[in-house]
Amino acid sequence: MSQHAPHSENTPHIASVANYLTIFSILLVLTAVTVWVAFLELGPLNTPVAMAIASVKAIVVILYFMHLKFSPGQTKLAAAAAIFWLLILLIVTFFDYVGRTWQDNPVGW
Amino acid sequence: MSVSTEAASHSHDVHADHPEYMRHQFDDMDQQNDAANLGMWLFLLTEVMFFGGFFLGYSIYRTEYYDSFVNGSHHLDVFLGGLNTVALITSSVTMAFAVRAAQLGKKNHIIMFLVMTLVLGVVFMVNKYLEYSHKWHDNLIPGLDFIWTEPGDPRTIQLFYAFYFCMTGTHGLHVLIGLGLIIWLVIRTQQNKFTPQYYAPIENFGLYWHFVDLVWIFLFPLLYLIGGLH
Repeated sequence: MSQHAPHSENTPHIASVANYLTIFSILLVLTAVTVWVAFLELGPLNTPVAMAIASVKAIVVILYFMHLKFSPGQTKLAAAAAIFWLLILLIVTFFDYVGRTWQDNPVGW
Repeated sequence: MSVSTEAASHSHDVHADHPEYMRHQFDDMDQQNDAANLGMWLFLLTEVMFFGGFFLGYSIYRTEYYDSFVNGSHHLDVFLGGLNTVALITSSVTMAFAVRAAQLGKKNHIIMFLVMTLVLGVVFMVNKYLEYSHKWHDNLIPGLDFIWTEPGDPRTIQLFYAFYFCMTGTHGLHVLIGLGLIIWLVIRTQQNKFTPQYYAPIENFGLYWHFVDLVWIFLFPLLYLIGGLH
């Protein structure tokens, strides 16, 4: 995977067939690992492990199938912005939700 | 009279300057391709936020009613879900090969790989139909016909199924739209509309299709694989 010609302005990055097949097998192996890990009793670690594997798969798809690794800087910025805003949405709202002191309904309701 | 003739000849000259597929406002194809690429990624950014709302709601209610989500999840078919994961990942590879064929200008290969992607997408939707109809017969349609006879709190398990149908339904709608777009791309390829200099529609559709694959990569463990398999 490290033998690509450097990306120039005038020629699009054309990845080799072997490159795509390598990514494909990585994704299949990680899918199998996800199912296998779900069988294990890891207690509270099951979900973080599943999400970590899914994130690795996502990164591989984004970098190589979606060619982000070889995309112009402005495209990388757009992708980073998507992840950044998604994390704001998830993390900030989630911690507000679980960290808030919920009060019982007032008597009479 | 003379003004309109001048305008007409001027616009004719502008057309003669560049190939049909290059728009007036761009200096060259590099600029046009970069703009098309950026535009598609900005659209995908809005899609990330669109699905992000589902994932946020799911996370909050799953934290709140974890046992019910585990109970609900155990009723889903891990085999069909896993099969669909493989189908979508494989379709992402065939789509990547379709884009590669477009870069190399191999028309027959573009069509072959697009049709393979189409077939795998149809396999995904057929599996989805089987899963949905199974749930219909098991009375697991939230709000309409929901009867839960196994252990657990039916009200909050129903909530899990509401998320299941909203998230997989919205995702499935994206797959269906994608299948329509593939047919359009096959027709355009057949009409020789794409060249190694101009294949932005194929490339941008590839980005969309990989994004749909990405969403499923997260949906599969979150919906089908909660709390171990029993």
